[in-house]
Amino acid sequence: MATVSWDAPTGRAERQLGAVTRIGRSPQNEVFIPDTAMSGCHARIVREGDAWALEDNGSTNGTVVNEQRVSRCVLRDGDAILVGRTKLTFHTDQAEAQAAPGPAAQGTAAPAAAYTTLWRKRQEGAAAPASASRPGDGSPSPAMGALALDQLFRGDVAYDRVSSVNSVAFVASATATAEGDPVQLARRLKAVYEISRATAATLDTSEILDRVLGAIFEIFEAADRAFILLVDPRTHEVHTAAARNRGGGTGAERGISRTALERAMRDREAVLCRDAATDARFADAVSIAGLGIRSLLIAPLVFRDEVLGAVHIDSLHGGRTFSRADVELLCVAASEVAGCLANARLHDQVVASERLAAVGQTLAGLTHCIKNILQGIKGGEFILEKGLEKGNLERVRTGWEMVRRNNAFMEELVYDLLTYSKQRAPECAPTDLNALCEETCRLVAERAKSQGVPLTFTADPSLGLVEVDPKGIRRCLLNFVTNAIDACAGRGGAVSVEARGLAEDGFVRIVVRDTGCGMSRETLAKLFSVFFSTKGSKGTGLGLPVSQKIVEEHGGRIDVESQEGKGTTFTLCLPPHRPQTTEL
Amino acid sequence: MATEGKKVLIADDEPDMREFVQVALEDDGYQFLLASDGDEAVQKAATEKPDLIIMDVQMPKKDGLTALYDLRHDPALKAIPVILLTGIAQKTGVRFSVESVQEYMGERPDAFFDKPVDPDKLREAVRKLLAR
Repeated sequence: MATVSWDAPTGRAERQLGAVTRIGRSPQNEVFIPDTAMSGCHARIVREGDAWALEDNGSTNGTVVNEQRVSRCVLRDGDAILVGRTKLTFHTDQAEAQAAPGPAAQGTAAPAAAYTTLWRKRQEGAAAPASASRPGDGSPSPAMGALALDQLFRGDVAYDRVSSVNSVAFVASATATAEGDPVQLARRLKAVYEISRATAATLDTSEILDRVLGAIFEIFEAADRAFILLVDPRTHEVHTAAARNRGGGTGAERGISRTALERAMRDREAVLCRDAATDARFADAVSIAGLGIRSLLIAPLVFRDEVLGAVHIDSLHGGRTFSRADVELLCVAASEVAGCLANARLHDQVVASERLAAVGQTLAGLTHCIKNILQGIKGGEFILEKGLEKGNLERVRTGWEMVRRNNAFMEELVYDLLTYSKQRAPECAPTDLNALCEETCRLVAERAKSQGVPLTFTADPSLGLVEVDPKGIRRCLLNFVTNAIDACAGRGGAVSVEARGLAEDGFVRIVVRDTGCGMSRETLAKLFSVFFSTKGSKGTGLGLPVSQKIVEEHGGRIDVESQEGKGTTFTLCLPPHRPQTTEL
Repeated sequence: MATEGKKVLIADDEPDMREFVQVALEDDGYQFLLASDGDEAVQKAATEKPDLIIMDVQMPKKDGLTALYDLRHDPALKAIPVILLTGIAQKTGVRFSVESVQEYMGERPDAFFDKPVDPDKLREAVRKLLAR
């Protein structure tokens, strides 16, 4: 299944894609968006086996995928499509996304795609082999690896350029520098593998750094201490993000050479001090000798043009010194780590912005609910006053009913919000579910009658007392039954409620079935999303998410089956006893 | 007054809101037509040819913006003044106003009211639009 979604003024819109889905500002398009910057029939998405191809229909303003104008391209999950002023997002099942070559494969790589691909690869936790590289998608290309290797072995390495070297070069470098020493080669390859694995397995910065330090000690036998220093993006100050001493502890108490560190970060080049006692460059930097450092090696962490920090390793007096081959290896390792840190930072930013978007969406949904309720209260007051003014008792009654109804809505909204937002344990008590169902049906009987919807209840005499929170379960049932009545209104449908005793799977059930309008797949997919409602201004979009939360707090679940045009069945599955443990 | 007997179509899925608008305008002697969704509003506009339409933005079946688009693209209906009402303050980066709707859709409602609607202001807007 694949869909496109976009922001419409009335909320997030989504459409499932068919064999051919046209996009444009004319109403005959399957994706009809009245955007004046769009052509009448602007573009179309065509299904090609497991893949989905986007084709521009010769539109005036063009079609853009991931910030690059395209006439035709194969879409991949998460691709951003810009048509006119409207940004659509393409979604598809993961399996399809993997199978389909993205726009990058056709030589139309977008700058944003590199980020996305890189991130995806990390999440999957699998390093792509060189043969799987695709031009321009952020994966290492063989040509790029060869160029970087050539630079590495020329002798006068421009280390700042090494930041673009990938793990393929890293492995090759490790092989070359350890040539002639099979034991060393095996150890270094293992360490390279460990670093790649460490950086691929997590997006948690401190975990990445800790694992990297472990791998660094494996690679550099001469290293007594290893540090990763990072630049704070807000204050621009450099701080030690991770430190490790081969003999245990962090080794940080001894300090590091700020002079060498600053130089490496400023010049974006690795700094090697083979022997502090004889290195003239650091003759003035008393700190190196003063710290008891014999040999040190620092490689900057550079991602694109930004210096994120540095990796610092040193050997203390009496230890061994670092070699030229170590410089090359540390630079490539630093490049790998920098890419990974940038990814982790990007991930944190995405999470933060998603959190903000969720807050924004909640506020917008809440504002909408409150404004409608306020409208009801104010409208009711106005009608009531008009009735009083004209001595029209019928009108007074209408206005008063309106005020009362909307006060009840407000109460309901506050209850739902509190229930939804608070982690709580259900207040369970032995409850007669048959009686609770009957009572709920009685409560909504008037509503069903006024809408011409027959409502029936079938009790199960075998159902004894069940330990549930009666207030919470009543709330869920009320939601299901009123939704069912609304789905049947004006369609000649009927609603049935049925209680069922303990089944083999250990659940008791309440089944609410209607033969109303049913739901589309799109609606079903968003059924339990907060503030999603198909009832226009009548719905708060909180009823079902709140019901789901209540049932889950009981250790139960809600099953939903629906067929568009035929009806819907909600099945409330509850354990007969209160949940054993509830984490608060 | 000159506007007496004019047909005003009120489209809102919320019966309370339809009632409120009718009461707000009842002293001016209009004839009211009612619709409970955007589809019905466009259909009634085509068959009943109202003099003015007051329409909610968020309605089932067809929302008020799409209904406005349909009305403006029907040569027989495009001249009917349309007042939009909404409880959506600011959602998905679009702040509702006559201008923002025009910017987004290329079609312009004649007036825009944020809920809760002030009945006197609504009455005044209807009078002005019908007197044009």
